[in-house]
Amino acid sequence: MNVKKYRDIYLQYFKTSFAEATSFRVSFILTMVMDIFFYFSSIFAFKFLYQHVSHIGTWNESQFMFFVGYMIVVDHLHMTFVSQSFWELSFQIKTGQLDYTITKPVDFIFATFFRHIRISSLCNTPVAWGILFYFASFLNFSWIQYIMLPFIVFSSFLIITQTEILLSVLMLFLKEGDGINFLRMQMQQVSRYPDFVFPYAMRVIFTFIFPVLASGSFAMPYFFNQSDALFILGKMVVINIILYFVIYRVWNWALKYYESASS
Amino acid sequence: MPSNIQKWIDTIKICMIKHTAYRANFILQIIAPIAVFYLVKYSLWSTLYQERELIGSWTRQSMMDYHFFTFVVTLLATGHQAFDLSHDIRLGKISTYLIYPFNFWEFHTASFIAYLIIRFFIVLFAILIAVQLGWIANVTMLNFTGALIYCVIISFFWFLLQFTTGLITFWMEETWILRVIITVISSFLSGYYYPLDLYPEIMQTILKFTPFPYLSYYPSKLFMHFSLEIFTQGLMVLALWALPLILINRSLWKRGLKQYSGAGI
Repeated sequence: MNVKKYRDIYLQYFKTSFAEATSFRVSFILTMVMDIFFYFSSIFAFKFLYQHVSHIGTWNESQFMFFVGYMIVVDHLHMTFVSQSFWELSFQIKTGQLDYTITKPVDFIFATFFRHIRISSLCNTPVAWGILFYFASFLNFSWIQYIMLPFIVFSSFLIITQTEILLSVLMLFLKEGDGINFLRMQMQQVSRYPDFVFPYAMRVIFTFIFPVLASGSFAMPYFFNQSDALFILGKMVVINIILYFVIYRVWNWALKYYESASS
Repeated sequence: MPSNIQKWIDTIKICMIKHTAYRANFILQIIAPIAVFYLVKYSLWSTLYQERELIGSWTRQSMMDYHFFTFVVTLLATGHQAFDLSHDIRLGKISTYLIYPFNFWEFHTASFIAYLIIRFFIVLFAILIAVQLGWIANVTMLNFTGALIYCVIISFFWFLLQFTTGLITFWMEETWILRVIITVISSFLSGYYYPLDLYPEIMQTILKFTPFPYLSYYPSKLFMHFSLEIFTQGLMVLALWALPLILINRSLWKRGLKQYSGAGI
């Protein structure tokens, strides 16, 4: 019953997002172009670097480029399904429109963070996944690794998203939420690099407190044949379950201090 | 004329107060992104230099200096003015400026100067800390003064570019996408990620004909070794690109006003 209700609501969210996106056609195309520029600048930045070095840490070019492709897909999912909702939340808090979301008879987190779908980014799905499979082809994956790939990517996407939802609670305490959105984007920036490049203290913070490094770096040992799938997926599922409970506790607590801008 | 100068000074003062009204937000929005990216780059390059002495012609110290100065250049030169500008156009707020004795462009330029002054002091503070802690080498007064002057000029170029992008709001609902595209392209092509001499030679040759290297790569190098030749060459290239931008800007404003509906009047 509940699943059907939320499926129907999400379908409506999708329809309204689609109608909105297709009303502004130039913006629609430009968003696609923007994403593609971002993908290829990320790829070439490291491609050029590997002309001067044979490996970064213990990773050779093929391994590093697979990681870059992996994070591009995670970014793509994030851009498509949640990114816009974070910016809308900041606007809603500023204008008091969040009151309407809070009082709706649906889960608050669902209605707030999954409301907006960026259809233009969704159209880039073949590009993002094409890049990932292209770089995967250099690593001679087994068919099980190819099957596991989407599940592990989805777990990474959930880790990033849940960490950002947790961080966004700070918007309730600041009059201007855009700063938190910029901080959130910095978290994404950190996640786009393998954990071994960071000093120990930063690694601890971004693995155990704000676990953005767990999104990409945790998955890589499986694809580089250094660990088995169950162990990797298990670790990521545990992190996601912990984050899920922490998010609800923290948001429910924080909402008690929410002062509506419109009331 | 003196009363107009007074208007500029008063507007700059008000805008400085406005920019710093939400301090936490200001730090998170302006300083934190560049500082975090600097930390990421510092970590990455530290890892790279663990096993080698040279990358291209760059030693560890020179590479770290380079990244610190790209941090300084970005902090000083880039801004978010186009957001306010496009917001004003979309919500019909420019109607107010049309009857004020202080033009739309004058207000936004004053706001930009206010913003530049704040960032200038932040940059001076950051450099002072870096020098005190010994993070950067070969510090000379000539390098700093020359490069800082150059950075102020770049920031005006960025402002011009962003102002022009913002004016497209007359025709487009969302211009933030254009700004992000410009930022992504310029970050990649200006040497913000790492020095451009590590790029393939063919790209380096092509880039010399664009303004990109003069926005990050050369200014960072000016901080390290000031060269009058690079300084004047940079100014000439930026001027060459600024001229058509000014013309486009004026044309967009004139055409935009003709179809401006004055939403909210």
